[in-house]
Amino acid sequence: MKEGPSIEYMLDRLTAIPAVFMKEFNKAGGSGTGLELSAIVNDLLLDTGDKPLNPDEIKKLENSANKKNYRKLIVILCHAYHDLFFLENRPEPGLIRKFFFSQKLPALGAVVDSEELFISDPDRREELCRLALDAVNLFPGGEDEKRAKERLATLDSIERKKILDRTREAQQRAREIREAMLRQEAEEAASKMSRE
Amino acid sequence: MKHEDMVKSLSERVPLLKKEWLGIYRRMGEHPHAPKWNTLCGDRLFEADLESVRSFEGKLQKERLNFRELPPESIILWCSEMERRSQWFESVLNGIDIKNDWCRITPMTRRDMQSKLEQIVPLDADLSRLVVNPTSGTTGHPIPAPNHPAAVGCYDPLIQYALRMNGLNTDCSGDKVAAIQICSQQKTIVYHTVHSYLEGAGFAKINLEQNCWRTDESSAFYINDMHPVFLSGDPYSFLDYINRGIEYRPESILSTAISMEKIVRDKLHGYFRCPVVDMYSLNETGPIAYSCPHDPSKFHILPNDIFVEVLSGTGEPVPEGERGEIAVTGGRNPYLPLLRYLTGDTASMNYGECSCGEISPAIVNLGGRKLVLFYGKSGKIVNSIDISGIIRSFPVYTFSFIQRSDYRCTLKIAAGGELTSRSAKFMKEKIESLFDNEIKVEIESENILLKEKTMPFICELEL
Repeated sequence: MKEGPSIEYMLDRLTAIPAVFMKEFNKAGGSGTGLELSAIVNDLLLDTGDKPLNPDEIKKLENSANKKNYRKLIVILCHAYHDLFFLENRPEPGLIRKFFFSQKLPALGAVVDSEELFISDPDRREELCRLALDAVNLFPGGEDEKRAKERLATLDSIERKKILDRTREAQQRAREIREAMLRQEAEEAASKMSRE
Repeated sequence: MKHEDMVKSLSERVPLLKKEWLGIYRRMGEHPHAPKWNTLCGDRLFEADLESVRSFEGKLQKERLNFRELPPESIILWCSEMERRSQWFESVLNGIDIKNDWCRITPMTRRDMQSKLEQIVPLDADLSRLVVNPTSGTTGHPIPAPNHPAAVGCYDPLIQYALRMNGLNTDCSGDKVAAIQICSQQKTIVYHTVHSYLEGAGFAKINLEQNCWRTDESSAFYINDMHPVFLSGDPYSFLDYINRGIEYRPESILSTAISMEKIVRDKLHGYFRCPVVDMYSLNETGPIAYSCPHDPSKFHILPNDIFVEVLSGTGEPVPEGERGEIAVTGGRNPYLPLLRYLTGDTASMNYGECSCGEISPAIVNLGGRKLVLFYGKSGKIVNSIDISGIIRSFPVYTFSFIQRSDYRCTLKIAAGGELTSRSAKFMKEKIESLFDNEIKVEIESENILLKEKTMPFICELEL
């Protein structure tokens, strides 16, 4: 991994996202004043020295409306990457594309109520900036690779959601067992011919 | 109760009830000297449960388990399966090669069972069949263990096996009373029922305490007329049976719950003139071992689905013949898979085939729970089981009950915030009432949990 821009630089970039990026998307096949996802992604890929989207990839993006917050996350990331640093220090071709079409972004989108949290919430904003750097094999300037990985792990929304779900499940299970035990202690047990 | 209501009520508790089993059930229940029954109970076995009990019985006979310090392959496989189903197993076995790193596995303790039960119960266990059998609480650590009717149903073949190995030749099944469990407590549940595994043979749990019967002689008449094949109980209840002059002598005596001293065994043997079988059994594990017919101080491992080892304080198996704490792995309770579960009892292991023909290893020098009696100033005897029975009904983790030489009693408890000062006072009053309020009981709360090896009952009276 190489050293990239500092995390503060990335945070400032994300906070300054123009309002137009937060507009609604145009409907597939339709026209209007909304966002055209494929066009935004294509601009970024070309400007960072990558190939444009192929028809399959365009179709995937068009058909991803049901993935909660996914498309908006891509738009936010396009803005983050469409920065002088990345335009001058082009990431290895294919890395941004791989990140956009990975399972990571739909999973990340699914754990938050609104994509705006990735702009307004300090932890989520930092998480997205760190993810963006990590996806193109960079760690934040002023840090080392190890520290960057550790910090990203502490901010990991998907893992946090998994832990919360597991905790909730464990609590629910504990409640069920306690209730079953209490119910059954009040009732009769099964007959046995010896005692302990 | 009307006949139809009785049948309906019984079949709810004995789902496989057959019409021909009603004769023995009614004979037990409606005898003119029958106890004052205070509860209803049954085996709760459905067809699939009974099949699993029978399958367990078949393996129990044919596949006796012989092992030494390390677990056999069947236990390793079982642990691997549990690793996928129980959070406890998953976390304790994380990074462990079960077969090669067995001694590194952190043992499960009674405290774990009390405070982390939800991690131990397999995630896929269907809780709808869960039952909770009460424990007499003689260990000082009252553990309400969840169980399944099919696992409880396996007590019957295990008991039958232990009795047969000790010379019982009579079949316990069919139109007869297989057993009567004798209790001698101020208060306990008493019921009669039939067991599906034994083809409807009858079983009754009775209490010798006088106020449970219609007349002074009722218990003797009743037991005699029921003619049970064997009597089960604890040493104290059998001594009370003898003291009351009850003459009926069964074909076998099965003693559990409290360890039996040699002098008591000799007395029972002399009185009953039949095999006296001692069984080491815990509520959390079910029967673990039975006394050898050739040397009753030796207990052969009974089920073939458990691995028993004796561990040092650091969790290492101690060499054969050295004393350590008994740990159990395996079992058939679907809600309580055990992984090196420390029972709190001490013993040493004895490997190799026995002269009695049993090939499973044996536990020797078992330092189980002793019979302890307490006394009121006017001579009234209070059984420790009555005291633990009261404590068990309160949220107490561990306890220790001590009677001083001046009759005063102290109950040391470790309890969570669920035990309010009001309920502690209620518990104290209930225990004092066992002594007819002649003795004062002081309750001391411990901030830290009492050590597991603290003796639960100590009587310092010199009578």
